[in-house]
Amino acid sequence: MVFTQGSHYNQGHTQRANLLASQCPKLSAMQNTKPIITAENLVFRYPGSEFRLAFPKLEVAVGAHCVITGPSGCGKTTWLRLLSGIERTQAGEITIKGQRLSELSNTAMRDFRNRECGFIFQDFRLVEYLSLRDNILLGVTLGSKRDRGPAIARLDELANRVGIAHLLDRPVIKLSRGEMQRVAVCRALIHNPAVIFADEPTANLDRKNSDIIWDLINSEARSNDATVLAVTHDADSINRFEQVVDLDSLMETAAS
Amino acid sequence: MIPSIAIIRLAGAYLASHRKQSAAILIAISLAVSLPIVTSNIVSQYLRTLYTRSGNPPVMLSPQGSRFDTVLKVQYFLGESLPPLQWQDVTHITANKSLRCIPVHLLHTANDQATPVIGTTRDYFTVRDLNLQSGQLFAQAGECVVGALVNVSNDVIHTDISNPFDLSAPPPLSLIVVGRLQPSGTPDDRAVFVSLDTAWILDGYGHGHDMSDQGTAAANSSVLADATDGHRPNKSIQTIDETNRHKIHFHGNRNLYPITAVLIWPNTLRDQVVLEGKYINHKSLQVLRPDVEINTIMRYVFQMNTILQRIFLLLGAVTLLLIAVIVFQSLIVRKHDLETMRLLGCSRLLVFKLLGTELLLLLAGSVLLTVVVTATLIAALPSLESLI
Repeated sequence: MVFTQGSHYNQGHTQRANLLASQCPKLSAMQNTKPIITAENLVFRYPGSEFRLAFPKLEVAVGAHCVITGPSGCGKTTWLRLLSGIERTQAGEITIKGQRLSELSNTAMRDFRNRECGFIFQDFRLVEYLSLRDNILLGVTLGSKRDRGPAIARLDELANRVGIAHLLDRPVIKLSRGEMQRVAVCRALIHNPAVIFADEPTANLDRKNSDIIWDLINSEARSNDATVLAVTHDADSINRFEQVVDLDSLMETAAS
Repeated sequence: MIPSIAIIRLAGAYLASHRKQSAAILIAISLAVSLPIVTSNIVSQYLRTLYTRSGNPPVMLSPQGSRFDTVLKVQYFLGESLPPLQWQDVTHITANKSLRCIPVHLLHTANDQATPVIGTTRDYFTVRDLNLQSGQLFAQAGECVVGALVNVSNDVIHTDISNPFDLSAPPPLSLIVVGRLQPSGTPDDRAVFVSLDTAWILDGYGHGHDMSDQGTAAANSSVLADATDGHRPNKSIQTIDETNRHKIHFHGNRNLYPITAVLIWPNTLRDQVVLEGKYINHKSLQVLRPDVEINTIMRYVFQMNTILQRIFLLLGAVTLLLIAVIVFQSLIVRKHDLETMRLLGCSRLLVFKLLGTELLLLLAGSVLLTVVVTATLIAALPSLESLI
C-alpha cells in the first residue's frame, strides 16, 4: 500500500506494516508487485449532504490484506462502496485489476462487481427464505453470463472448510449468528473473486467469535489468493492486517 | 426468455416460504376467473336446453294460466304441475285434419322425483324425432320407454307415491321398461314415456280387481268387506303384466280425463293463424307459441347474464388491483433482498426474470386451480333449469 503526498498515514501503522513486512517474506514480495486496486484523487459527496470524502491516492497490492479504520460515521463504509464500484465518485479514478471503473456502464459495473468482487456485509445480508446453498450461490445464479458449474463444484469443499457443510439445505432463518457469518464468508468466496470487501463483518460479535471470523476470512482469502479490503473500528482486529488506513486522518487532510 | 432451473428454484423457494400469501393470491385469481366461466357455462347450458325445442311444436293448447310455466312444463318437464284440460278438448282439436296433435300428460314422477313420467301417444316419438336405442315402444298399459339418461334397475321403473298422506291415493306402479331411446340432447333424455292409459292408471282412473284379494278382505273384516259395488282396487298389484292386465279397467267419463297440454303442428301457417284466432277469446283454454315465450325468457336470461358478467368483470378488476397492490407491497418488503442482489452485482435482467418467474409460477398455479375449481363447480352445481 502506498500513500502519496497529501495523504496522511498513521506513523504507528506504518511502522507495524514495515515490521510485518520484514517478518513476512510474502508481504515483502507483495509490496513490490503490481497493485490490484488503485484510487487517485477521489472526491465523493452524497447529494444534499455536507459529508464529503476526498482521497488523493491509494494503491493496494495483489494478495494484500488491508483494513480501513476510523471512528463511526467517518465514511469507512462509503469508502468501501466507492472502491467496490457500488457508488460512483464525482471525481478521480479507481482501477481494479487494470479496469478503470469510470469506463464501465452501470450494467458492466454490476457484471464486473459480480465477477471480480466478493462481499461480506456487516448485517450479513442473507436472503432469509433461501437455503444456505441458494444464498451462497445467489450471486452466481443471478450473475450475467455466469457458469454456475465451477461454483457448484466448489461449494461442498468450501462449506466443509468453514464448517457448514451439514447445514447447506437448511433455511438461513434457522441459523445462529456465527453460522450466518460463515455463510456470508462462503458467498464472498464461492466465485473465486480477486478482491474481498468486508464491511465490519465482526460488529456485535464477542472477542472470541470475532477472532474466529477474521481468521476464517484471512485464511480463506489466502487460500484463494484474494486481496482483502476490510472495514472495522475494532482496534484489536486491526492488528490482524498487514496494512492499515486510518480514514479519520485522511478526512482531516481532505478537509484541510 | 425461458428462466433457468436455478431461477425457477429460487422463485419457488420464495413462494413456498410465503405459502399463505401465495395461496391467497392463487385462490383470488382462480375464483375471479372461474366464477364468470362457471356462470357463463350454466347460463349457456340453460339457453342451449331452451333452444333445443323453442319452436317445436309451433303451438300448443293448454288451460288458461301462466304461459311461461306451461311452456316450461310441457316442453322441458320443469316446474310444478299445471291444471289440466280435458280429453274432450283433445278430441275436439284432433278432429281438425289440418293439425297434427299430440296430447301429453305430465303429472307423475319416478326415481324419487328425479324423472318425469310423460303420458303420450306413440306419435310423440315421431314428431320429436326420437329413435330407439334398444327394445321397442310401449304397446300396453304398464309398459314404458325410457330416455337415454334415465337410471333403470332390473328393467323396471318405480313411480313415486302421488300423495303419501292420502290413503285413497292411487298406488305407485313398477313400470316395465320395454325400450330405451337414443340420446337426443333434449329433456326427453331424462324422461320416462308411458301410454295415456298408463298415465290415467297412475291418476287413479283405472285399476284392477283381484277376487282372491276380495276374499281376503272379507275374511279379515276389512273396510273393503262391506263394499257393495264390487269395486275393491287391488293395491297389491304393483306391476301390470300378462297375469293381471285383463283385470285393469277404467271408470268415469273418459272425455273428462285430464291432459296437461296438446302439442300441435299445423300443416300450414294459415292453419296456425286460424287455430290461434279460434282460441283467442276462449274462456278456459289458450293456444300459445313456445318460441315466443322462450324468447322472452331468453331476453331476461341474456340480460341477467350480461349484468353478472359485468359484475364479475368489476370483481376481476378489483382482484387484479389488489394483487398488484400485494405484489407492489411485497417488493417493498423485499427491498433489502433486492438491494443485496444489486450489491452482489446480480444482473438486473436476471433479477427481473426472477420476479417474473415468481409471477409466472403464481399464474400457472392459478390456471391449474382455475381448471380444477371450474370443473368441480360445473360438476357440482345444479343446472339452472333444475332450480326453476
